[in-house]
Amino acid sequence: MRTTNLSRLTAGLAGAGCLILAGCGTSTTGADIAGERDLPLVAVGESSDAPSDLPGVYESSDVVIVGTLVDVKPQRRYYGPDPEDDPNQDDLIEDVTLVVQVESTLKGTVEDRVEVSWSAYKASGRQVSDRVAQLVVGNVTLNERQVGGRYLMFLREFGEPWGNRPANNDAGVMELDTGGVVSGQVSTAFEPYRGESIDDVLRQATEG
Amino acid sequence: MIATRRRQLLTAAALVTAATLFIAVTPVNAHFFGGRFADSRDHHFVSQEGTNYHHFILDDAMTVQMAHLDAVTVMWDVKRARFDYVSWVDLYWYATPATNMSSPTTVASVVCQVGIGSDRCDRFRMKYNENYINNPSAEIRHDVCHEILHSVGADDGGSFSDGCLGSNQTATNMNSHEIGHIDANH
Repeated sequence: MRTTNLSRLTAGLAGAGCLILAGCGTSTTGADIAGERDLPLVAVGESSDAPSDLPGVYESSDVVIVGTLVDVKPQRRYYGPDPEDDPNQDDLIEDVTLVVQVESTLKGTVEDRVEVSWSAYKASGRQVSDRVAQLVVGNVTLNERQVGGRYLMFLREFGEPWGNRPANNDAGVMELDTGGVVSGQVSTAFEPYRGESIDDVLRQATEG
Repeated sequence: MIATRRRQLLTAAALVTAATLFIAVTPVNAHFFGGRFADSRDHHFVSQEGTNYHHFILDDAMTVQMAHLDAVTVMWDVKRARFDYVSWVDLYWYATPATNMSSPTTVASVVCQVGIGSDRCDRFRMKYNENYINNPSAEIRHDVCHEILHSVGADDGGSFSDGCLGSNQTATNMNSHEIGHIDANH
């Protein structure tokens, strides 16, 4: 049941986003950005109400998967102040949809592919060409440049307009090497698990 | 005797080289304070909040916590008038609906708007999730202090409970670790 809801939600979100936003409708793969200038990295600092300890993150996650990032699609771009007048109206955050080919499901039930929303870019306008920086969220950068990467992800359905995202931006993603060991990009709060295997991480998540 | 001394010197040199290499190759974003530092010790802040109720709640927290930054670190703050868009402002802030946050459980966030090089920022923007505007004042002050720390270069992380980046959600004073990093980088 969870699978169906999650898949419908993410598919619906992507569809709705494409009706609204210019530049949607086609995915942007790693090959597509080969000619794109090297965008600088900009960190987003956040405080969250969600758990950041591994057992808490596991508990609050709807699904936990191991999978490979196979595609990245543009999604919504949004901006801050509601009616406030801001001198920087062109300062946007762009979310993307990460398409993850699922290798194994450690919690919940999912289909072969899961779509995950992620804040990926700063942008100065509505077009793909308006991207001005890659965002680093909780020490992790995920966009077209990471296609092919293998990840352990703790995901939660947040509903519209956020979609299916890491349960906590500072504690949701662990990159894995080919041997299934946590390495590379790791969410800030998951740094202590660097070098551990998937089984060890899962054991600590469920024993907590 | 000379040979022994030479071996000692070589060993010491090798250790220093190894330590230097370790520091040099550690990824920037793995450092606890590896974000974008402020461009100077002046840290001017301005409210962009249009709703009076939201403005006064957060303005109180911002004022108190920026004064704390001023008092305990080398940084110093100047509070400017609401909607005062002068070019030397370092930190704009406002409350915004949860739909403008990356998730509904994101309480607040800070991002650099105008970067200088790869590790400095001329102006940051702070957003506070309106869903949390009625939190207890100590929690709001903790979250505001947390975001202010991001605006002087702090990443999330660390395992301590005290301080504005720690796990105690009502701690409103920076700890010595946080203060030390701020002072060292500004």
